[in-house]
Amino acid sequence: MVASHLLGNVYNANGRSAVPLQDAGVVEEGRDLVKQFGELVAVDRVTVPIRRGEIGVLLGENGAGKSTYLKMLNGYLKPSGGTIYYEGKETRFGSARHAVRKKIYTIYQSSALIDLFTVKENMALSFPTKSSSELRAMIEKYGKDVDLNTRVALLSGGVKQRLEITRALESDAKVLLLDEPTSVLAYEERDRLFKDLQKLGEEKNLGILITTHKLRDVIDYCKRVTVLKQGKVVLQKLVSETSLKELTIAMFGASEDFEEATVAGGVRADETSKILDVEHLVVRGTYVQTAVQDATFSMYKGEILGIIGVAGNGQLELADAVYGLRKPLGGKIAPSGPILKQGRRLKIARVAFTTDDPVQVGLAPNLSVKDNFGISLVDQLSRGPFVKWDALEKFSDSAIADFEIKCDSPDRTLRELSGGNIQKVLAARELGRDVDILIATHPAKGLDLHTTLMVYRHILGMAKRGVAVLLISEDIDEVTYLSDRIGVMYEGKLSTVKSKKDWTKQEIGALMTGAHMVSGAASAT
Amino acid sequence: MVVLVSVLIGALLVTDAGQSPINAYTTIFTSTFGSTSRLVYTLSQSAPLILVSLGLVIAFKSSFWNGGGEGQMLLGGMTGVIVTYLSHQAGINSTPVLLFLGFAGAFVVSGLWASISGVLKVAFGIDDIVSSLLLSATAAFLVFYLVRVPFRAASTSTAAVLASVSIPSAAVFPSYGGLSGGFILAVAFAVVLYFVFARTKFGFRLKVLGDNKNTASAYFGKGYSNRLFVLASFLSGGFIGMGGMTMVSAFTYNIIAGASGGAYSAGGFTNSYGFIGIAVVFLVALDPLLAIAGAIFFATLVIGGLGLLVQLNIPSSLTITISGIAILFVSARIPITDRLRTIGRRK
Repeated sequence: MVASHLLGNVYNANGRSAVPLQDAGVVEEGRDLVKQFGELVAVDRVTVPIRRGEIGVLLGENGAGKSTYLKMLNGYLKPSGGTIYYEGKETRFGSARHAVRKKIYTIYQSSALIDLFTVKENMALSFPTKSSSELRAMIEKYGKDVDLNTRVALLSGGVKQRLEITRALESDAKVLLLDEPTSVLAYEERDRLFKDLQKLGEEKNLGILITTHKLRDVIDYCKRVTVLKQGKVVLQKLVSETSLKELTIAMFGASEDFEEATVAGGVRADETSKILDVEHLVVRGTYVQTAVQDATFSMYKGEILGIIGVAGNGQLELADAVYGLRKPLGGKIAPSGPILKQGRRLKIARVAFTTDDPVQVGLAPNLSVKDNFGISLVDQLSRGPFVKWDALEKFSDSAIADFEIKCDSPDRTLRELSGGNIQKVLAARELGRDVDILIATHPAKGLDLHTTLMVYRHILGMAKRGVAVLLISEDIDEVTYLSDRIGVMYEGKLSTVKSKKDWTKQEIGALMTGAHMVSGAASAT
Repeated sequence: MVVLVSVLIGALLVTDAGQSPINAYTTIFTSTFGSTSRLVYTLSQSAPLILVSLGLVIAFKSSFWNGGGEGQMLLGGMTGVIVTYLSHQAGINSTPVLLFLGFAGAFVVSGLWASISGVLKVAFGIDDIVSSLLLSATAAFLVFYLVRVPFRAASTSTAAVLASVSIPSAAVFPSYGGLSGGFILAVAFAVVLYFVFARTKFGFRLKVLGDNKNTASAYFGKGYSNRLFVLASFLSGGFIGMGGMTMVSAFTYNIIAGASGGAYSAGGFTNSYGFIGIAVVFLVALDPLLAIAGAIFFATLVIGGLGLLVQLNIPSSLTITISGIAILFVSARIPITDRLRTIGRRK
């Protein structure tokens, strides 16, 4: 029997994993795996055994190395170091197909089915020798509610996933790997997924490993958990032997209360400075029906409201709705207070860096840098129908100097700048506007430390000038440094918004990972 | 650079055909620029192409991919014929008035026609290239009908060639020392367009819309952006229509719907300017002022082709070939320079 590892004692004195090798219960294991991309070490000597009949889980924040580790176990990536054992033997996968031939199946976040084909056609691809009625019987074994002749594109994420699992199991899979399986599921479909996995896993003696960043997945359904943080294993235990508190500490770091904020707090949040009311907001999502299920909060002049959540819990859609990019399905967003009296619309600036593409909504890549500065400033800097180019040039020059944007001339095409500098253009422009509200979504994503601090400085400056700031972030440190009040977003619902001093890091972490929703859990602290 | 390469390739072709390339190019040059009168003639001839190119500059800057230049030009020309003809019948005889009515009519009709594609795009997401091309064919057939039935010329000798009524002589564009007023008008419009794009909020917003629709929607409002797009399509068609009117008023005086004319060129009225204009604007990177020079270059090829035919017995298809090669290189240039730039950056 494998010994349980205590926190901190995962590795023995040699720095190698202390798990004995010959364990018949382990179907696959990546031992001391390392994966390096140039300078970046994404996975740093991680060992995770996958046991038959059990669901194991890799838990960690985005970027912790979970998917990378998984991709080494299925042959998609070649390890830079370490060994993979499969059914007791040392194995090297030549390719992902090689691993599939060895009955290691992977289900990714984005569906691997062919959207244009029907269910039947997709299944027939993998099982060319089976007849239609055999295919139908196979699918119905795993759930009756799929019509074989539907085009896959029309199915929900959960149904597509189930089909892929069906496909894997009917091919006599021995190992099933799932990368963030709950991220494309509607909130209700998750239970079904896990129940199926548990049942089938035991029936067929499958080894299952999933990756996730949601605590609820771990506690409710998994047997063993490995927490990864920045590529390293920080905890590896039976779920029954750990606790929510231990897991959140492992993921987010030691729990201390915050040091006093460097920003002078004490912003008066009352009716005279209130600027926006959001009530029971419901917003549509891209993958799920409703990304925001219920959010209620108010924004006040000069105050920074930080909403933190792990990616995919609805906060981006919330910000888009406030800005006006998405129409809400329900609830209301309304200006309040003195703005109403002035009878004008709210002026909102937006700095948002979400995906890897630096050119987002807000920039025009084939126009010059100067032109791009003009996009949101053209109203501010114009006389009648004419653009005040001299004023725009002055702004452009000072913004380039201020943010240290590397470009030899403001007439350069924006696209020719490096990604980071493109981001700086957007940030410099938005943070220089004369507005009522600033929406800052991951405002420092992808930026180096120096620029990050510059962006923070500008955000704080705007708040001091009376702008109401909505900060959307994934980073506890960022959110706690900048915000006056903080709310946590989980599965589309916004927690109570409290003043920064009423929170602890650990409370935030627990809410971010859904600990409060785990059945039977006591309070997250 | 593109010009150079296509000219060189043309030279190779000529040599292959047994003639001296130097002879050929000299002929082109002399027949187009050889004397003041010829120079002036060439410049005048380029006027319609300039206007068409300006219309395409507006279109492409706003990402309205206007493939219907041919039809829009035909409609513009026909409208010009009809308006001036009827006005004259109604007793209007003054040249400025007739010209004004003709150009205004051409602008509005062609503009509306092009804006159909614009509306289809914003309202239903229908591809603008496809709709503008198909509508172009429709426009051509519409013009055919107008030429052959209601506005048929009084006397036609050959049954196969049908001409429309001619515009009244008062509606002919005056020339100044041989230089058609049309050229002056076209250059004036080019300057105005340059000014609009360089200095006005409207022009600026059009550029943003053309580059990133999402940005425009987010910062200018979705409704406004859509309306802006439709307006751009209208203006684009309008300029192209004016190009057609110039063709009629300064050169052809009527429209001939050849029985063998394809759907797109109605027996050669447009000289394929609707498509050549696309090459022009890409060659000059959508700059309104440079478009003047680009149009002159292509017009030269078209006219020089005639000189070749007359003097050296080289089929005018040589110049069409050079145009074609230029178009090829222009369209390839953008992906090629893109790739060169990315490679340069990666180093």
